Amino acid sequence: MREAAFLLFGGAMIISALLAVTRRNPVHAALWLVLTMLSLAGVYLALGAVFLAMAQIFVYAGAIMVLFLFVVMLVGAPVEELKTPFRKGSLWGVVAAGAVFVAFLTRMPALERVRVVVFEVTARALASPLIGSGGNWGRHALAFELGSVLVVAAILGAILMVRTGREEISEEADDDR
Amino acid sequence: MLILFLKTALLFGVLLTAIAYVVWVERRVLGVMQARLGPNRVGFGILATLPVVGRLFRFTKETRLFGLGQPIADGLKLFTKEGIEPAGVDPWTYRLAPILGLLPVFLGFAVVPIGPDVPVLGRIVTTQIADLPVGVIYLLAVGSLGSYSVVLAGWSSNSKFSFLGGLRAAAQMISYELPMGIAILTVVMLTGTLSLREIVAAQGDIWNLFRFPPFLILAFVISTICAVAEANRAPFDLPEAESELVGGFHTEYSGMKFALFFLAEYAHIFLGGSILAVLFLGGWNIPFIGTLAKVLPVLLNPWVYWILGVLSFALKVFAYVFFCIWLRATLPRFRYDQLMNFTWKVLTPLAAFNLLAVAVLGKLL
Repeated sequence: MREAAFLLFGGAMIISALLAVTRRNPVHAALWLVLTMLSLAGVYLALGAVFLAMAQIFVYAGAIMVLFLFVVMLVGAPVEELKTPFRKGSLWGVVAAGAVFVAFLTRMPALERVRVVVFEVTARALASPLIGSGGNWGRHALAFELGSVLVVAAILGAILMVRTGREEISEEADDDR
Repeated sequence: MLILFLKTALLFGVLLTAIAYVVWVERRVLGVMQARLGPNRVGFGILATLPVVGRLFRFTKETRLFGLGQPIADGLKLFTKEGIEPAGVDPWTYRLAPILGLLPVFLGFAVVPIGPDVPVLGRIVTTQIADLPVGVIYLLAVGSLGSYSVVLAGWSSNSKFSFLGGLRAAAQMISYELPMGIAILTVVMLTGTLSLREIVAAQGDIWNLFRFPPFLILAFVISTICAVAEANRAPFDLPEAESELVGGFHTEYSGMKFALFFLAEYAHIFLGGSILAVLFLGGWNIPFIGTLAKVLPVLLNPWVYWILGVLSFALKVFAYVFFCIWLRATLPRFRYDQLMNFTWKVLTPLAAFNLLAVAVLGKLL
């Protein structure tokens, strides 16, 4: 039962994540990302982490993605602008990601191992940087904080990307005031 | 499994009927408050044509019953209306939005304890669909999904009025979730549990509202204001301000899709009232039942107790619903900057300091 739920939500997560990165329309992409977040909550539920699942819905699906949608709509980037042609360079990215994925899989000798990793490590690995357990109290705190810096940098970058080409309009608006 | 199914079906039925009739109550109460009549024409004239019932109650085609037939007429109208889809809408998102509006609200009711446990055929049945150990967080999580409906409705309609309404609604719902969450946290901290069932059980002697006066009363007031704002009700109905935005996010909706938004709004009021009743007003607990039972021992019979408990809960929820209608008849709409200033500069700091005060008091006493 639990494994069926895990596979169901995991599958939904992968499909919706793929759809999220392939949609042209930014609002549709954001919506698929919402489904990814909800499926992730479902995966947490299947792993028996009820609180984490609710927090996942509350924080990511409920707050952060609404904010994402809000910004996407407010900025209102025309869909045509996003139709950039496929670059050959990005193929290398796909190859590299695939290699990492294969390497990751081959490290697991059998499927049993995968299940153990999924059930045992996921929940602990998620909790330990924040709460810590026993001797390794906050062992990953630095990595965790660095990750948050990365997210801030990404958000700033997104703002910068959106702002370019809009300078004139905003200056005019300032003059009006 | 069967019991669960029956409970869900019963809750659905009761809720939908209550929503239909609250619309009638609202129109009548607004009528009285504004010195006019409200809908009083549509009766059950059709009952007069029935063979036995018509004779028994002396129904005629003129039987009006204070306009009690109005919700049925309204429902039939909405069901049979043509669902117009304007040109240029984003089809799937446009159809998804009304469903997303109703779904989270009904999901929220799954954890609300409506009455005490009752023995049915030798089994103890809880009057609650699911008792989650994290019920409070679940309510907040599910409630936060409600904003997708208005945002998507506003965006997909391809209309400036809808779009502005949707953006306003999203900003408003995110902003008012915050003080609501903090105020609810006060209760959670006090009772030390996230399960709604245990929160109700902990209020057997004294309602949370009356603990540590005046701090819990302040938390209750903040939660009430936020619950009204979350349901987009007057005076917080900026997302559908008719004088500037036509109908706001649901301008371009008609027929059953509009009816779903309508249902969601009223179901939201009920959910808000249920949350407030459970967290602050003792849930289904009946005041002074211990003293009364000494005189009338029949009150402690499980079924009598159950009926009284459910009535007590319903009364509390309905008091909140009436309060919402009252507000609508009394207060003018906020201006947008007032709305935002109110939550970020007044409610949120107030709720945070309130939480701190209760934390300190709880540690000292």
